[in-house]
Amino acid sequence: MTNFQPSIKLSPRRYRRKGEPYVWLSGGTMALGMVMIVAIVGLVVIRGTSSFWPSEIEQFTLGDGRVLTGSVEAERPLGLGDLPPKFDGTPWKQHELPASRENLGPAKLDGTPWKDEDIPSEAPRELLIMQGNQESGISGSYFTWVKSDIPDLQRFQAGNPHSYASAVVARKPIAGIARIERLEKGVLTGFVVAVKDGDEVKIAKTDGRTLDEVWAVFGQERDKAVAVYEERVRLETDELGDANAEIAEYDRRIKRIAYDHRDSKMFVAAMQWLNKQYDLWVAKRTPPEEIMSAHGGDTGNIDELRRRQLAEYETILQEWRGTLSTYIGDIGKLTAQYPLTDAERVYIAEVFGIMHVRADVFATLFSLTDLKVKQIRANEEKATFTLETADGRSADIPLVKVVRAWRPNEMGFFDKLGVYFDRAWEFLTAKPREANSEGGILVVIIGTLIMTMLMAVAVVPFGVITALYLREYARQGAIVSAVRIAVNNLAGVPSIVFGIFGLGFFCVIVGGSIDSLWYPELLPSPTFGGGGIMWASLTLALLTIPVVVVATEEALASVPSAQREASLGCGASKFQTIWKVVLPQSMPGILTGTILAMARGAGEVAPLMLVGAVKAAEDLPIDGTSPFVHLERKFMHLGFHVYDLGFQPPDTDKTKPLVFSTALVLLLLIGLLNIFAIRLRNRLRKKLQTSHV
Amino acid sequence: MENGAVIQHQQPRAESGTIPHPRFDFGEGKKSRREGEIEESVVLVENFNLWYGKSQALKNINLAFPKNRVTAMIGPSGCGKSTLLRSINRMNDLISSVRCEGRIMLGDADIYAKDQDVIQLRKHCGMVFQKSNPFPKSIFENVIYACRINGERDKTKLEEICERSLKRAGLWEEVKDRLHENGNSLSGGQQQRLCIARAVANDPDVLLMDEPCSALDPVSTSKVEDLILDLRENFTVIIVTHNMQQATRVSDYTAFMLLGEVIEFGRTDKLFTKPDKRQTEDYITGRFG
Repeated sequence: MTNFQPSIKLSPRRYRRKGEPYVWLSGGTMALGMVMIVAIVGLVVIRGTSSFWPSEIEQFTLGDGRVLTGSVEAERPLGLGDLPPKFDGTPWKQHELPASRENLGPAKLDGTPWKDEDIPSEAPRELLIMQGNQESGISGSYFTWVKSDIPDLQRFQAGNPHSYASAVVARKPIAGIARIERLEKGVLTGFVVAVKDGDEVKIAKTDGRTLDEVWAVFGQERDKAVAVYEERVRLETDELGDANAEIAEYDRRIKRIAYDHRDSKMFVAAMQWLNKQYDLWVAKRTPPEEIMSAHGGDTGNIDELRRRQLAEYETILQEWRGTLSTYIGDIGKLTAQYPLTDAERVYIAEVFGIMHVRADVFATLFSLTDLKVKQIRANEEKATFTLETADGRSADIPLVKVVRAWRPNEMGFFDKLGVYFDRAWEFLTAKPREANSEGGILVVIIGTLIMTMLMAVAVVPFGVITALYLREYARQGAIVSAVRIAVNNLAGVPSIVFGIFGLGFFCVIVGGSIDSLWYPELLPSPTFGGGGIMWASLTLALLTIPVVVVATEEALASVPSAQREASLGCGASKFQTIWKVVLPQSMPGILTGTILAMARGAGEVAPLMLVGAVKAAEDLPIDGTSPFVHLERKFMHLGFHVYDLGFQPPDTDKTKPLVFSTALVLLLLIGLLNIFAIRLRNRLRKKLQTSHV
Repeated sequence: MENGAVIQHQQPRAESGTIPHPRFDFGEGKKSRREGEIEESVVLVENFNLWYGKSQALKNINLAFPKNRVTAMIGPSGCGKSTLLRSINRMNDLISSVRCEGRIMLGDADIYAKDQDVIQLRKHCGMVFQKSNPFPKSIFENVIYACRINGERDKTKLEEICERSLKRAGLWEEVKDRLHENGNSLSGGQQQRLCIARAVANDPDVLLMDEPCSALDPVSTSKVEDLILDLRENFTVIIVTHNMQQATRVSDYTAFMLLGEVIEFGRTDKLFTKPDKRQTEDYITGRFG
């Protein structure tokens, strides 16, 4: 017989002693955390993805008689305090909304009975109506907050006439209305009633055509106009851009030579004279407009006309190119005027050479492309369409400005889905327009990616070497402990402090030294001496070093001493042991540190504002112009972009949806980087797995 | 410790042409051997003392380990046998508080000499540890690790060394078809033999084994023991063991250590049947320790 008795009743004390409440407590804490994470991510995902949906366009009649035609872009609850009391004089309570018949009383204020359509089915709220139409002739308010679903409009009008002015008294969808996104000045809302090419009317509703027929022609003509526009943009960015880059490079070389001889008065004077003469020559160029007006005769065929203009301009340019020598003369003539030393004459000869090459580029590639661009520009806005607003006003808009157009009230679900993905795709792959409030964020994504990669490339070797020294080589003692504590404490330094350090050290001291050594001719405008992607990456690398050092130290410590002994016992040196045995086995831990560092660095914004992230940077740090990698360039960053969209824009209503979309992209980007690194780590772990016998 | 064997250190004969080693006489030879046969020693420990910080772990050790023989070191835990073993390839250098005095000769080189290259020394003293510790690399890479360290790149040579070492370790037949599998995929006994193969790949003079079978099952143990007997052909083996049966099975000579001192050293059959010292008898009969 034993004394053991199974306990049937669990007293609270025994229960507590069993540890059950702590299990529940820790489980509950984790559940709370999970709920919060899901809520945050869910909010970002929902708000971030819903903004591309083409919502219906309705007509809203307001209390003061205004008529708005637009889509609902946002809504917020209307405070109960704004509502006049119920019919029995008591205030409204939240649970009584949306209003029901008993709360509204037996009859309306004027004695007529309530009808079903008088009773709102939703609680009162404010809606943000986007109308757009910032165009002379049809302009109205772009965004308007209106009050909707007021329980008792008559009482509301009597009790709160000021608010009633912006209350919706009627709303109805309108057939055939279009929403048009433009390159500039935002969206349009209205009917497309005519399409014109110059003075020629291609199709018009007034000729008895239906809106659908006009819409079809509008689509075709718009595609044609955009194709021409895209050709013009290509010419501008590619060919004109290349020519400009080349000319800028020649300018830089001439400036450099001038800078190197800044102490020789004669040389400076000669350079001044040369530059002046060159500018005089440039001023004599026949502007493309002159050719275009001289040869503007009506030939009927625009392509033929353009070819003729181009050929004519080419001969004029050739002739003009030949006159350069009469302006800058030759070295003999120059040195007769400005006595130069022999060494200086060599450099002046080089300047002559560069000026001639520069003149070649200027007189051929640059000027001819200039003409082509201007030819297209002169005609591209001729094709227009007529937009008629719901209140009957109309305006002619160039077709070339149309980015996208759709008629949401005529579209089925899948058509809308098409527009949705089209807009989402544009957001991901286009450049920003209109002070970032429209267009896409491709440059921002790439800027963030490059910066994060550069940061990882900088931080991993530095952090790993530091950790290796601290853990494997340094004699453990007070100094190493102090260093370790200092490194760990770096993680606690506010990131803006790192930004200030980066600005002071990298940009000003290091960048400034680079500029004065290698780019003195461009001073005072900085090359490396300002913010740039390299300095931003290095600043973030400093910021994230503790993460890598701590993770690496732990990984090194976790390599069993038996492995080190085995290697040393085979006659390996300490370095060989570290390189061949310890480091490979620490790799998963090092990668964990890298993942954490990248996640931390990619999301950091504050220091970047000081060392190179900017609101708008068209040029990427990596592109097709030599030397292809431009680490001195400023860049755009997703985190900074979120801040910029949310707090800096001229119109927050316009950019608010983009804040969430950008935040979502940032989350996804960090998530993808992490998934990549985690998969890499898991593969390594699998390879290194030690079976415990 | 002048018991069990009369040791006569002899100067190396310069004219012999072989690597000169100190020679010593074991007095009574093994039964199969002639009385007074002279054995050649490889490792010679002279007046060796070692301290961990302030506590002395080895006290005035004098021992000579004969060539191509298996010498076992037995004794209770903490008697210093592992420390002595690890002193021979200077593994104790890794512990910063260790201090030592006296000489250990490998051949005619003083391994504690100031200009001694520890890395070269370890290449001449292969070591096998208590717990098998293959690297998380392929079997092939494990075996040729030492060659990789030496910068050997010739693939045929590496393969040759790998095969020879695995054959010496008696593992070749079992793994020859899966040389590129992870070393950790082998069983415990195979892993230990893989470690032996890795240790002999360098062609060391001495093979130091620190309780190589303590983590193995009886079947694997007997395989490793057979292997140790075979290894004697090519190497001088020094083995630390807790298992006295194992010592009798595999060793030619045995040293009994207690509290940092060598109590008795001699031929294994003699030490286990007619020990000279009282402490030895007590220990081997299980009266203490």
